[in-house]
Parts: sequence; structure tokens; C-alpha cells
Amino acid sequence: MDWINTSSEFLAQQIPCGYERDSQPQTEPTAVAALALLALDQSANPRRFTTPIQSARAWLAQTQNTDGSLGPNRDHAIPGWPTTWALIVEAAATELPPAPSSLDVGQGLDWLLGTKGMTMPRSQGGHAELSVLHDVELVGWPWVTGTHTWLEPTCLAILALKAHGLGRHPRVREGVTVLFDRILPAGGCNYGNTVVLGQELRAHVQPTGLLLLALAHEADWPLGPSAMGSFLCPGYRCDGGEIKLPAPVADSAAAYKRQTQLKKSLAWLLSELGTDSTAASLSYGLLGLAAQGIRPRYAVDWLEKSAQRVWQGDRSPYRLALLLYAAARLRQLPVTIPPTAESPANHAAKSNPPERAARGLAIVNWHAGKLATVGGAP
Amino acid sequence: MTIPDLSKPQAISPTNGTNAPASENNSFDRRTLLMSSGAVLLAGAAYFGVKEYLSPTARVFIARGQRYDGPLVQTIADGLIATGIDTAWLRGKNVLLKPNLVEPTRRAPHLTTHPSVVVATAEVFTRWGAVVTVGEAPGHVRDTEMALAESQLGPALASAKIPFADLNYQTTAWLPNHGKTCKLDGFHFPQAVVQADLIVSLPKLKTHHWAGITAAMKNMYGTIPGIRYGWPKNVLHYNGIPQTVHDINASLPNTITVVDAITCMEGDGPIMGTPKQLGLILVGTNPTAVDATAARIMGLRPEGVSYLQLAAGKLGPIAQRHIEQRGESWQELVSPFEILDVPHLRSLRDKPGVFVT
Repeated sequence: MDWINTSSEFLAQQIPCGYERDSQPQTEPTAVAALALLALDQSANPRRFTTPIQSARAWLAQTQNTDGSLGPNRDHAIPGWPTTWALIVEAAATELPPAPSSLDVGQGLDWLLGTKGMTMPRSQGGHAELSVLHDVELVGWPWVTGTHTWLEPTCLAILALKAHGLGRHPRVREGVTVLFDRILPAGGCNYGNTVVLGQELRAHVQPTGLLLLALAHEADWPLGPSAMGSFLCPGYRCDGGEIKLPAPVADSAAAYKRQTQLKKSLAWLLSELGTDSTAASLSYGLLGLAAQGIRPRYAVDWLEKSAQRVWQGDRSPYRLALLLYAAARLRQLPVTIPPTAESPANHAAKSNPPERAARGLAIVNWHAGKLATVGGAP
Repeated sequence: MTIPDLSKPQAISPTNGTNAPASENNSFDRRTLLMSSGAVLLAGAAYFGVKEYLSPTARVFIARGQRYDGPLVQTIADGLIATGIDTAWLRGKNVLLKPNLVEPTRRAPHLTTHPSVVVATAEVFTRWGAVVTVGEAPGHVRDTEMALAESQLGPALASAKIPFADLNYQTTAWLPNHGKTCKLDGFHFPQAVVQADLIVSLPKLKTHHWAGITAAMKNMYGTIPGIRYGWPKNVLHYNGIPQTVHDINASLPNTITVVDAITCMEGDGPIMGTPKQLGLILVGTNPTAVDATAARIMGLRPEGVSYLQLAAGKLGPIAQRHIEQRGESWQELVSPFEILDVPHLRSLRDKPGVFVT
């Protein structure tokens, strides 16, 4: 089936949508659906999805609270983490006329900049000092006001603020520091813990993909000209359209460390994605790779397989939107994986983690060394 | 025992036969007893003793020699009947099974409730005429589809045609905090939780590097939706892990438990620990009593587990004399679990036991 056409038509009819089919409209799924349709429409002439996109923007605007934030849905004004998604949609929709109801972007940004994760003093000998490796004094964004900084809301806040040209804001710079601080020693990340009570935790695909999205062109900061745009926005370009890993900065130990962290994370992520990957993890994983300039050869096949599973299952608009968005963004990238480096399934070595990790690292090294296009979409 | 048909969600005390929390029938006021700072320890000890003395009994069933490919349906049915469940009451009732899928990975199957236990429990309740749904709000991962795939529960449920409710993203309803040991006035619970006539906690028996153990009661953190509380559910941590474990359990509608203690986790649980083979299934209509029994089997003091201290005499008994054993005797099954050698876990053992670093 032409899953992209079928799914996009289906999605256009679902807006505003929830996480599940025919469920209560929610902020995040509605925003992701709008982003997916915006990305699909980017090169279309005429545009096909202006009406549902405008409908989504209006719904989001009407969901905005008086303090500028958006809660998960209209029944619940808090927590405000979904505000990030509405802001990203507005930044991505600049080519469209204003929606019937307009989001107050300034107020949304003010709310986001005023929202901080709680820190924990290391000096008082509490749990934080005893138990966790990450820097508990860095300030990023929490899921819920009054709690600690966590990885995914910090990624989303960075993406939203960058999308509105605030990449140099001190909050964003500290947020980026938070993200590098939360990368696991072996690469990749999870919800935001690294080492607890002396034991390194496991990485997860979705947050690793989101992290790589948020850290696009950040490895050399503050020494290099880090891209201040947000990869989530259609207008994002770098180096004339060819996205590259940052050039090594030989005299900076910090930059070298960051590049190493990113390489390990890319390698881990590459080794994890395949035909079995579930929709959200696959979408975020591919978006993260794409933001770092890597497009696996079989990415389109994996997306289609995952979409088929969603269609055979609950037809979640949220998951279809994520898959569509990833597919639309990947269209703009050439395949950048050497043909011999991966199998269509990419899970053949699932039972052999060291082999898988070594293969992922080889791909990243190859990519960093050549930065060459090796073929079109399969 | 007969599980009452409640007209509105509230905590029940299955062991005293009333719908109100036992504490509401108790004339002792905890704060009153602890008013004098000089007498805090004495008063606390006295209060704890009085609470325990007044506690009604609860039944806990233990089956040994269990395997994931064994006759689990029969074992679980036997356990539920032995602990007093009214099978006739279940006909037509909505039963929510709540496994533990906190952070699944195929590389550590001892981390999550085994699919065989979930499917077998579902079959038991289905045979008794209940309408069964499995629901979970994984605590560390936003991609619930991935959690189902990695835990292998997704394919098992699909094969058995058992519906799954993603509790992280469902519409929620607010219920008041009946436990009142933390500052939260209430909890936002997913609709599948609020609408359930009976919730069956289906935990994996594990050590927990903060709470000491995780079994029936801690598993109920997974009824709290991430969309409102985050990933992890840090709101609960900020309000105290023992306190919120207690209060969530006090605020939920009817809960019972079936514990997957076949392959367990010891050491740095609940995520990074190592497998420990016990071969047990525990069943009980009072989660507090089940957790106290599980702790004893793990070689740990129930009184050393903070959330059980809070629950003792209010949500159920933890004293051995108030727990009626069914099936096997726990004394013959004690197999000390390794626990981390950290200060906050040392109270779990009477004497130095197996600590790991």
C-alpha cells in the first residue's frame, strides 16, 4: 500500500487527535500531526493539507492557558510540557497565513523560559550525592513544575526555543549542557539518569533519537558556528542543504569529548533500529540520525513495516503522525550508510550486542570519514 | 472473602469487611499520639504495636515449584479461591490486570512480569465471567508499544486476544488521597483504573534500591499516568516514595495481587539487578500482607520496609500472626535476596546478611 498517502489522508481527517484512535484530542498528538502534514506539504504544489493544519493550529491556540502554557488536553491545564510542541508547530507554519485563532507565541516562550527543573544541592550529602552521577545542579526542564530536570522535556524545550531563534539564549545553552551531561558513558541515553548507585543504566531508543535531534550541530559549541535553527522546522538548512557532522576541533578537549559522546550515541542508535522497531522509537531514532546527517539505507522500509503494524493494530493517529513526519524529513536526505554495513532487518545480530555495537561504530566512523552519498532511496 | 461492590471508588480493607479504610474506624489518631517530641519514639512504638494488635487477618497463598510453562492457570485459580475471592461476584465485572513493565528489555526478562503469568491470570478471571483488560503505565519509557514488544507481553496479549490499556496516555479522573501520608490531595488515575471493579496487581518480585522491595504495592506506581506525572513519575518521588506507595494503594479501588516470584530480581533492583530463581507464585486479597510475606521469603524484615510500616494496620497486616498462610509455609521457602550495601537499606535485615556493592 502507499502508506504515506493513506496515512496522511487518514491523519488529516483525525485532527484534532489523541494518542489513540477516536480518543480525546490531546496537545501532543495534534501538534505532531500538524508537523507531519506540514512536512509532507513542504514540497507539494498545491498544498494538500492546509485546512487540517490550520484546524490543528486553531485547536492548539484555543487550548493555550492564560499564562501561555498548554496542558496535555483541554480538560487539564497542567503539566505544561506539551507547550513545546505547539511552539514548534507555529515556527514550522510560518509560510501559512495566520490560523483562525492564533497561539500567543511570545507568551508561550515566556512561560517556557520561566520554567525550570529543580536542582538538588550536592553539598548536603543527600541522595543526590550518594546515588547519581549526573550533575544535579544543572537547570533544564522538568515534566512537571516543581520536579527535577529530565531529558525529554529538555530536548523538546531546546527544539522549541531554537525554532524561534533563541538558540543562543542562556537557558538553551545550559539545556544543551544538561543533555551532554545525561549521555550514558557507553553512548545513548534514557529518561535522564546515567549512573545510579554506581551502576550504569541502559539506553533507550526514543530518548536517544530525541537527544540527537536536539543536539544537531552542538558538538563544537561554543567554539564553532553551531546551527541555531531547529531540525524540526522545514526551513532548517546547513551547509547548503548537506548536513554534516561537526568538524573536529583539535584544540578543545571539551569539544572532542562531546563529539565522542555523539559518535557513541549514533553508533548505539544505528545498531538498535530495524524492521522490528516500534513506531515512536523508530521515528525518533531516524529523526535523530537524520539531524546528525545519517540516513540508513533501509529506513523507508522500516517506516513502512512499522506503519503496517499500526494500521493492523489500533491505528493510533499519534504513531502514524510520528512515522509520517520521519518519512517526510528523511525524503530530504540522501542515503548515507555504506551498502555492506547493514542488513534489511538490522536485527540479525540482536543476540550479540558487542557485534552490533561494533557494527554501529564502524558505520559512524565510515560516515564521519567520508560524508559521501552512496545511493538513492531503496 | 467477598469483594464488595462499591458504588464509588474508595480504598477498602478486605480484611475487616468494610469499605472504609481501617484507619477511619480506628480511634487512635497518629498525630495526637506523636505530639510530644520527647515521647516520639515511645509513642511511635506503642502506636505501631496497638495498630498491629488490632489488625484483622489476611490470607496469603504460596505455591512452590512453579514454572512459566507449567499449569499456572490452575495455580492462580487455586490461590484466589484459597484466599477467599468470591468467584460469583466476578461475573460481568471489569477486572484490570496490572503487570510491571517499568523498563523492559529482551536482554533482562527478569525485569518484568512474565507474559505467561499475565495470560494465565487473565484466563482465570475470564473463566469466572469477568471482563479482563491488561493495563500499565510504564514508568521510564514513553513508547509503550516498545515496552510491550520488549517485554514480549504484546504478542502474548495479541495471541490471547486480551485488550491492553495504555495507562500513560488515557483520559484521567481525580480521586482523593485516602492515605494522607504525603502532601498530595489526590491522584489522577486513568479511566481504566477508575472504571475497574477490581484491580489485580501482577508484579515481578524484585529488590528495589530505594524502597527495599517492589511487589504488590510498589507496582501500583504503574497506575499513575506519565502524561500527568512525567517519565519518571518524579512528582511521586518528591512527595516521598514510601508515602506515595502507601497513599496510591489507599486511594485505589479494590485491589488484590498475584505475584510473579518464579524468576525474580535481586541486588540492584528494580532495573539493574540479577536474576534469582524462586519458583513461587504468591496470591492474596490484601497487598500489604502479600508484600510482608514476600519480604520474609526474601530474608528481609517487613518492618524495615518503610511503605509497609506506613501500611501496617491501616491497609492490612504485616505481622506474621495476622497473616493466615495458605498453600506452602513461607518459613520453608526463605531464600535471602542480595541487597545493595547502602545505608538506607540496612534496616531491612535483622543481622548482616547478603549485601552487595
